[in-house]
Amino acid sequence: MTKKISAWTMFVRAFLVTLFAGTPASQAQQSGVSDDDAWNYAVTVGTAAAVREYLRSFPTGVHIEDAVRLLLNLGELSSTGTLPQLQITETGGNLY
Amino acid sequence: MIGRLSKTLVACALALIVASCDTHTVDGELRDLSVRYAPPSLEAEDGSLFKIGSNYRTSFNTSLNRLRGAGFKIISADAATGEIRAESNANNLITCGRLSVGERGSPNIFPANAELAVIEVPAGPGRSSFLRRQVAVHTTVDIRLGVVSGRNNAVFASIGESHVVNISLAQVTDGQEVYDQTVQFSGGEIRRFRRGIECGSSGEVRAIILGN
Repeated sequence: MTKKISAWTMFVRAFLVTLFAGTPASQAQQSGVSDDDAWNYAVTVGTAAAVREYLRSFPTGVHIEDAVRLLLNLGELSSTGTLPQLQITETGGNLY
Repeated sequence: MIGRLSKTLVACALALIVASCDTHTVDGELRDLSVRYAPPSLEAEDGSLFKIGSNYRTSFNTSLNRLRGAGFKIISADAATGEIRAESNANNLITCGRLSVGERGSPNIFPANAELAVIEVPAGPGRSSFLRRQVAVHTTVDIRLGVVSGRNNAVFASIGESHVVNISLAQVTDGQEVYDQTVQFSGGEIRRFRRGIECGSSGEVRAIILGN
């Protein structure tokens, strides 16, 4: 019985970690979360997904070098990125 | 038995909820990674005369102090000729519009002259990686002060700017360069990089000299 409860607890925990690790930081940024808070959140969660979300949300953030180092240490950045085509809008156009 | 069945059903329900969540964590879900760009609106001017004071010596010293205060390194300054040459590596002396990176619907926008950025890019089908984007600026400013007689001896300054701008993109994994270009332009010009980025003077040099 003890083993079944433990497995159940682990399942719920895994569910919660998956859910919160995937919370888009851009949503957090839009709601006014600071660069430091987002970084602390990513480090606290401690998953590659959370660190990636930090980089997505703060491409010029003060912790981007730390984030890249962390992803490299986790072995999460092995693939080679390609240079995407630049989609140019009108001068002063809306980027949204 | 019933208890075990209900737990199984709850587990299945939770699994379905997780599966339906847009968690933004799996690379395979990144289907529309793009880099969009809005060029700057510029009305560049170079070499125009600006009134900066009414006392020549004071105006000369004030200009020097303002340049130093803004982080410029004074290369030469000759009060007899009224000529000052200074240089700076500050990125805010130019403007290059705005970049937007990320998935459509949740882009992150930043100035295209940002010194350092890490941008997410595609890395094959269903995968993404990151590139390190760096912008380096070297600006040389030539100022010439003169007194225009007949206008209450007002001191005018002619401000000439020369910007050398380098934009580079490299893999964050091994530092391999994927793009590197340097362009040069004066304060009155707008230059376009091969990839479409346009840069020009931000007008900050003039603002510094005028004390705005």
